[in-house]
Amino acid sequence: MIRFEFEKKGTAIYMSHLDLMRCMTRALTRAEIPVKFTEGFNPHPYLVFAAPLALGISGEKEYFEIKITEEMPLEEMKDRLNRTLPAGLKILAVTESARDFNDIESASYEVFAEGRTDADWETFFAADTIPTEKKTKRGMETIDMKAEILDCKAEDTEGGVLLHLHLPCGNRRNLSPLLVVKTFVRDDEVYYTAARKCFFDKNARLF
Amino acid sequence: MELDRLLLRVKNPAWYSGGELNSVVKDKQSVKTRFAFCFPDLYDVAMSHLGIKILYDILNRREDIWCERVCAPAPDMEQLMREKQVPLFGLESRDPIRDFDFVAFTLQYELSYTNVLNMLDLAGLPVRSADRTQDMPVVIAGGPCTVNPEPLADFVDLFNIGEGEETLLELVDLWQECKGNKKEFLEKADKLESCYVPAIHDRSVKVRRRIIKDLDKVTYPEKLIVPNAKVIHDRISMEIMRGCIRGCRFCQAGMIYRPFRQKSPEIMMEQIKKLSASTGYDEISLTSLSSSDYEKLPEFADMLLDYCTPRKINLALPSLRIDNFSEELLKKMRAVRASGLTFAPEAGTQRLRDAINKNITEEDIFEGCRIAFTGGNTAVKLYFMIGLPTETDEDILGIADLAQRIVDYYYQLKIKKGKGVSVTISLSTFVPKPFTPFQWEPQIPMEEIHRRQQLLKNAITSRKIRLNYHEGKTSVLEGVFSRGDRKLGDLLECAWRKGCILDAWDEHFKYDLWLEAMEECGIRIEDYAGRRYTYDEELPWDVVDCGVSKAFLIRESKLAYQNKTSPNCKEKCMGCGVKSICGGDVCDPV
Repeated sequence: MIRFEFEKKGTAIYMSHLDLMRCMTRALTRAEIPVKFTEGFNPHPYLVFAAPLALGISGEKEYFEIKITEEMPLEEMKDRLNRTLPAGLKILAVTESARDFNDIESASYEVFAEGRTDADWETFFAADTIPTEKKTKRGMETIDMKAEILDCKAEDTEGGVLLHLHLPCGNRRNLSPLLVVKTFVRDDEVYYTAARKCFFDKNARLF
Repeated sequence: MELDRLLLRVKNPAWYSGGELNSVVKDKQSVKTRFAFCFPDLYDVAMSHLGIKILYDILNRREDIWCERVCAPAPDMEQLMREKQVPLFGLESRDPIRDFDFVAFTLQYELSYTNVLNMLDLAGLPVRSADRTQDMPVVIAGGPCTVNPEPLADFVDLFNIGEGEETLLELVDLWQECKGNKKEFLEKADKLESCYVPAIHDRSVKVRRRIIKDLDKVTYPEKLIVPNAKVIHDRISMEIMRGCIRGCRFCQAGMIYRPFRQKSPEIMMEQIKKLSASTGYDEISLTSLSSSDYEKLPEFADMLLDYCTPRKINLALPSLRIDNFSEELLKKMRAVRASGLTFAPEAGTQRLRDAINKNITEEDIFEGCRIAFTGGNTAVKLYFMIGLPTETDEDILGIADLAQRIVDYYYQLKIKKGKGVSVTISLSTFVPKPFTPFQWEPQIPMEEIHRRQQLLKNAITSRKIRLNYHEGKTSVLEGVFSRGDRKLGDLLECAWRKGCILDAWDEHFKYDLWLEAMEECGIRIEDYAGRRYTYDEELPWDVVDCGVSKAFLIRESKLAYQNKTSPNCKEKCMGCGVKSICGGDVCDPV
């Protein structure tokens, strides 16, 4: 398996996870990287992403892996892909896979909410529980958001508040920073941005 | 920046963000002419359309022109744009299009007309030409609907009739010559043979449809924009020919894209290789009005399959005629990926098929089904129309009967045990269109559409047959506008002001508001869609010379009433008149 580290910024943040998979599949084809395809009636490339990134969130260190059918220098794969990616997507590094994506347990995010302050967050976060409606496979469920948030620091910044959130991320538990910020601001008019910075394993070590 | 503040609040932000692969971004300081290519519908429809891609490429190849794409925003985005006063912008630069030189619309279907008005308004421009000042962009329009430009004549400064590959560049040249003097530009442009400036045009001078003589020599894109979000047709489109030899009497495309011109397989293969390398798409669709009429289809298909199969690229071949697609071809195609088969008998009885000049027989239909079924298909989809001229109840019942006999035929073939067959009837309503032999025919009224739909529905007894149809209201409106005159401008504006937009979408179509607007403007459906126009009256679209002569259309119209077919262009030239606009040397079947 070959691992690609990439960033997703600018106009690319408006791609959904499915859009991104489609986009990378085509980019790999254009770059003529010898991707291995699945067998069967509808062959598709072996392409696995570390963790889906919801539409609207930018990613600074995201990952996907592919299987290849013949050797190609890692740097060459990086250059080839970078020549053909749409605006906002960039490969940062290509390596041989070392760890299983299933080891990912959490991620850190930076969330900016315009017109809100550190004090607003402190008030919001002081509640014993923060019941929140969350969409799951089974439908809408109420969760206690506070119990889900692993860590949070807030700081006032120009024009608003910057939240450093540490949230569960992975197959077992997951909390979207967009859900956090929407619950916090409770106003459609408030502008916010969210960026995923990096992933951690179960021992809170950098993935 | 202002835009990004809105995008997270709408359902499909990637429709407005730009930044797609192969979209063209230029330095606005270094270009002379800025061109807004507007598709008056949502992004996912716009980006499925081949014409916009061809013209975008041709314009952007010129260093001094920057052509950008503009689509109609969905209602959620429109609401935010109006609220936050974000004017309609080009996807590439995000600059307001009201500052561009040209605002160009492609008119693909009548039900997009309100979107044209809405987009002008969102751009911050008055909708009527007369209300726009000299310093505002020139609003131009092209596309198939412009063969009858009259319904939009009050809103569009200049229509270009016919194929735009050459004329658009000529118009930009003229604009640059006129140094942005709109009045001078429009006066000069109106003298060009394919251009129509309704405000000043002398109606005794015919506007001639422009055509490209040699499709092998005209520029075809080497790159296509690859949308970031999924669109309806997300694939490479390869146009294999223009025009159609068939002459079905209801079909506007079959008349207004004449003459029949084919591209050579070698040139298309070169183009496909480049497009495939620049897009990474896994599907190629061959586009034309009737793919199986392409003379070199067998050898071209082989070349394509040699290229596509190892690359796991799927090949889509729409618009096959039931009477001449080959069994061998189908087998080869299946080697790449299987897809369902769709045919268009259009009418349920031989008599009516003859009257509309469909030129397919019942044997053709059953042979087509045999090939499909023995080739492993268990589902066929059949297109039919109701309300065709001369149609009787017997013809409608004939559709149900034909579908039933196809079901029975499947079981007679005893192909696979236990596997059921499915026949889908897709039913549309006849709309009389300009420049067809049926251009004088009335459309059946709403109640009659319903009656005939119910008649067919009740005649279908098998659960193997599925019937799909639309309510008919959109067809009626299409019927009003397709043969409309300039008086419809008021209706269009009135309906749009009431809130009619995106009329082609069931969820947005507001028939009640349309009826209200008609009432207010004194426009009656029965005077337009429902009226039999006469051979000797002046028609709104008489100002356009599409190539096919009125004499030919009248001859064909009369033959329909005798249930007589006409041979196709390859068999015998029927003297449609198109040679007059193409110089007689490009009618290639003759």
